[in-house]
Amino acid sequence: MSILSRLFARSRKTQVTIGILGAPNAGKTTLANRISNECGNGEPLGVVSPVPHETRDCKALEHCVISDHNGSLDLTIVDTPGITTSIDYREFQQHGLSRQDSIQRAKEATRGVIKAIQSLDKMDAAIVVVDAARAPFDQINWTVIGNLEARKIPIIVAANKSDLAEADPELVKETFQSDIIPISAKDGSGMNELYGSILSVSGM
Amino acid sequence: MDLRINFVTEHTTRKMNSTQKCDYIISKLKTDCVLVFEGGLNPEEEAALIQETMTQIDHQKFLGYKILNPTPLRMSGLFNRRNLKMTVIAPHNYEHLSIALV
Ligand SMILES: Nc1nc2c(ncn2[C@@H]2O[C@H](COP(=O)(O)OP(=O)(O)O)[C@@H](O)[C@H]2O)c(=O)[nH]1
Ligand SMILES: [Mg+2]
Repeated sequence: MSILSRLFARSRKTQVTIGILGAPNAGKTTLANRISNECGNGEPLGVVSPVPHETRDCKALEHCVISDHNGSLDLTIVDTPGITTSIDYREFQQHGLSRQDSIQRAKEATRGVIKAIQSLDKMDAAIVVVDAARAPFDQINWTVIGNLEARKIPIIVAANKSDLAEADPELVKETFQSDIIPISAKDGSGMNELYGSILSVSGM
Repeated sequence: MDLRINFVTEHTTRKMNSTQKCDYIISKLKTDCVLVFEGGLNPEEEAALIQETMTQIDHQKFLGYKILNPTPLRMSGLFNRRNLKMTVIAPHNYEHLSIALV
């Protein structure tokens, strides 16, 4: 082991809480479930759905383990509700819910957004999940990234849905001018790079 | 529906704290006004505005807002975003109004 990597290993935290954040439908729950499958006990963190605001509460899963030659990391991953500036119950009606159920779901969704923002104070690092197929990308990503920066929380930007033909991870990179990791939470591509990045931000 | 656009100068917002800014914005949005903010909002103010908006959405008339910082995204990378000069905030209920960066 080189001196550098030994230093790195020593300074690395062994238990880290990582929040999975982003706009509704970016694929946060799909990613959280995949991490649970690949590194945890396989228990799903939540339901994946094309209907927005399926996730309306934060859900944590402890003891996901990722390792490299420097050692291993005990991760707690937190799936969060999508953050947005508007909740329109009519959108749920378009997905076939009754008016009453739509309003109920919308009420829960507004509370979910608040919980997601509050969760920012409880994480050691964050994965911001951006839907790479939806240019020019939701303003909300900037709000989330800016708030994480203000709290000095390390950020990993994951350009999700890179399996889709219309996905443009390069544009995500240009837009956010940071190292981004193209992934597909659905088919699993890019996950090793993502785990590598989690290990490296945890070695602060 | 009448459309009004208010240009909010830094002079107006300078004296406001974050809570006052949020209250001001939401009260204007509720009167169907589109706001153009000189100086824009910082990320923490944006987060505060989201939280306050979520408590005030009534699932009838007020459904939240659309927001855009029309600075070319490419020039507003991760670390120099504070240079943003303007933010546009519009009521969500304007179904036929879209604000977009093209
Ligand atoms: N093609 C593709 N679809 C995805 C991917 N990740 C998520 N989705 C789909 O996007 C929708 C929203 O996913 P979900 O995980 O519920 O998003 P969340 O709201 O961010 O938790 C669902 O229909 C998913 O199947 C991906 O990597 N590729
Ligand atoms: Mg979800």
